Amino acid sequence: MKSTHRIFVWSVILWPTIFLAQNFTEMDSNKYEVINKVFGEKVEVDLMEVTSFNKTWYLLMNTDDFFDGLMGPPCNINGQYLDQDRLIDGDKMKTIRKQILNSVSLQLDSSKVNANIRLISSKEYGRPGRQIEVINTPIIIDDLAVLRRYSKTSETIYILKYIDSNWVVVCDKNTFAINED
Amino acid sequence: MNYLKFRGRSYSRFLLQTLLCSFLFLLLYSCNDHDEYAPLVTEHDHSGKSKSQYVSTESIPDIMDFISEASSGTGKFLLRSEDLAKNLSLDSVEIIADEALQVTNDYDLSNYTFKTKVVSEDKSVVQLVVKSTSWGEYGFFIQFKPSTDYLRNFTELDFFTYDGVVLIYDLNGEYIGSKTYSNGTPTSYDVVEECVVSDQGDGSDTGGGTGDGADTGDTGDTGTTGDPGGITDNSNITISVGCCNRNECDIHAPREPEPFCTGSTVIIDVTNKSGNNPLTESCVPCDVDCVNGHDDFCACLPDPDDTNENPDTGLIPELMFMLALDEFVELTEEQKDWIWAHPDHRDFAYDALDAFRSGGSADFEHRIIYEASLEDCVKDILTSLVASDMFINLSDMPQEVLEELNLSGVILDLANNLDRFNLSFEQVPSIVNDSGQPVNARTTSSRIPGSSPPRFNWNIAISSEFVNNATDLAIGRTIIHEMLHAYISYNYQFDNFGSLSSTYKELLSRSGYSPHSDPGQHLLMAEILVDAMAGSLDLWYSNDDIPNEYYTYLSWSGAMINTEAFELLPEDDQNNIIDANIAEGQAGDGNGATSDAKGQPCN
Repeated sequence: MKSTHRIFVWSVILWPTIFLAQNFTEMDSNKYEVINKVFGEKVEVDLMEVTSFNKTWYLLMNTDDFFDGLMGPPCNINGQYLDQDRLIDGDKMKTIRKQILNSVSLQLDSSKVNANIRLISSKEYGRPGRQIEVINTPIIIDDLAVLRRYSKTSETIYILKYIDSNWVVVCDKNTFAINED
Repeated sequence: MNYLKFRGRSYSRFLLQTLLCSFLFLLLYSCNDHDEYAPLVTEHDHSGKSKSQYVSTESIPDIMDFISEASSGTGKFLLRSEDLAKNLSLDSVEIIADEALQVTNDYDLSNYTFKTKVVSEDKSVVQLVVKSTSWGEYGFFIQFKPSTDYLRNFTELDFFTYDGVVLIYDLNGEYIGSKTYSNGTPTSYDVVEECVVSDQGDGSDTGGGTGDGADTGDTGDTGTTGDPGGITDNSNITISVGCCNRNECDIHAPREPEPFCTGSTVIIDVTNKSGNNPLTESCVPCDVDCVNGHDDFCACLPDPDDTNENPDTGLIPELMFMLALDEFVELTEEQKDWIWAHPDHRDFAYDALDAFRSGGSADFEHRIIYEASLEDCVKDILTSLVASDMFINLSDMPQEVLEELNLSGVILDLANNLDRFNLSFEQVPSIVNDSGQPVNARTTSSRIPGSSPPRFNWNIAISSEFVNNATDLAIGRTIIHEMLHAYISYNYQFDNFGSLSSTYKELLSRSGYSPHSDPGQHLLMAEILVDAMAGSLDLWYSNDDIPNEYYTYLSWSGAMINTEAFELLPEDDQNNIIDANIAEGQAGDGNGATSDAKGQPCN
């Protein structure tokens, strides 16, 4: 009886700790699906092995700045325009901002990303001659996902929607893009 | 008993531990799930500072009726500046009645400032100010005649450095007074001694009418204090216009029931509301009794309870800006109208002024900024390309391209197509790509910082290293290439379901490239736009000695040579492309144009 008590008590103590610790160090498979969807399977990509905790982009996550202040086509699904307010209402934007501000850096698991995505050590980032992409940890709210991706030559914020058991990119908006010749 | 005792102790320990765990869990969970930030609550501070905003003239019919009546329904006025005998010309002033700057105080009293078109030999700007007071509306004109030096250095309206003359007129165009400034310091002033009767009232009872000064006429006994009308901009500066006593102060104001017009002294001054101000000097005379005392300029301080008139009125800095721009480039009336037509146009004009001030220039017709860094030979190439209707005229593209893209009749006049976009060209010492290799040019698309509503800019930077090595033909080719980057980006954003974007998306889907990436755009160029570039280059350079295929070879450039489409070309074509690029010069040491070049050196 006593040992049962102890097991129960310790499990009650440890369970949330383990649960939260996992939350802070690992991404669930759904987030990997988002990453894989955005990067596809065809083009080889060098991706930094840890996600960025950069938070300044939360300033862009409001209706005016995201939909009108960034470059990119209107949000759409297969050519059908989406009502931006219905796609992301004020509450969802607020939640996105909150999650950006609370984001942490996570280690990516090479076994869970597409084969064309090569994870690169953060020590390599910024070295001349390396075009390394960086992402923030994907944010998932219900059937919406947000992913920010940037490199030396562009920064894109994607919105994906979960449709028929698949993530579909519905918005891709740029803060800048550089073409070098 | 012992068992029960044990059970009781154990159970309470269990309860305690469970509570502790629950508490820990809640604590941890609450740390993970951050609450929203409590909204900040601010209260209106009643600081007395006026709020300003632009309003449609349709929303202020009373004010517009007042202006209409004052101008006999024409919206045009004549400023009788020839009265000064100071070689100032007669200025015809026409109100631009699309919007007004409304300045409202805590008592909901608003003043309105209107911009005007001034037809004058002199470089000056005029604003009409209409005040809505508890006794009705009155108005006056304020004219700025800044010096050339002030205009050439103008960045924003700054009276601490103002250099020139400020003149005040009543609604009849009668000159009231002026003050001259040198680098923010008043050097002289001029006032009309006699008050001229406004035709909005005869002033016979309460005013001095055409009397000869302070001793003429009855100043009345309204008991109001002399708060000079103020004209403010957003930087805490006030231009005071008025007299030492309110009865005199309001410039021929048509007060109810009778207008007052008794003043002998007019103050026109620039003051800093925040305190110390080296710009001011006392008005003369300063012998009036003020109920609430007077300030440093002998203007009576306002009655705290006075809610009759908002002393602050707005100043439209864009007018001075237009004058500054006019100093660099003789703006046509059409260009002025275009600038006023839309806030985005004004923003472009601001960018243009920046470019002019730093030694560059601007093309208003095509909305292009040429930065000062551009060498003459590069700018000549750019302007000749842009000025030509043949500049990437997609209607001249080969038929198969037209059929595929359905772009017939489209002239790539990018920046002029959309109000929210600018196009700028600059020259930079060198440009290096991710691999550390020198490249010829770079196109950057980004939002213009601080623009609201958002505006965007394509900046095309051309490497001096390339310019020093290359021929005009290679530079023209690179400009067309970079413009196509901008065009693809524009098209993807604003015609996402059009034929070009659809082709692009199909290609991206096939290749897996990101829409904003270098490889994606270069693949599109390589697959379907080579002929378009070659045709444009041919039309622009127009040299019969150069075979058509040479333009095609040259149109393969930069990162296009790294695409799969290039790899699929016959080996001979690949070699010809590389040879043509080497012959016409590229960025990088030792990559100068060779004797095989068909173009002419830029330098």
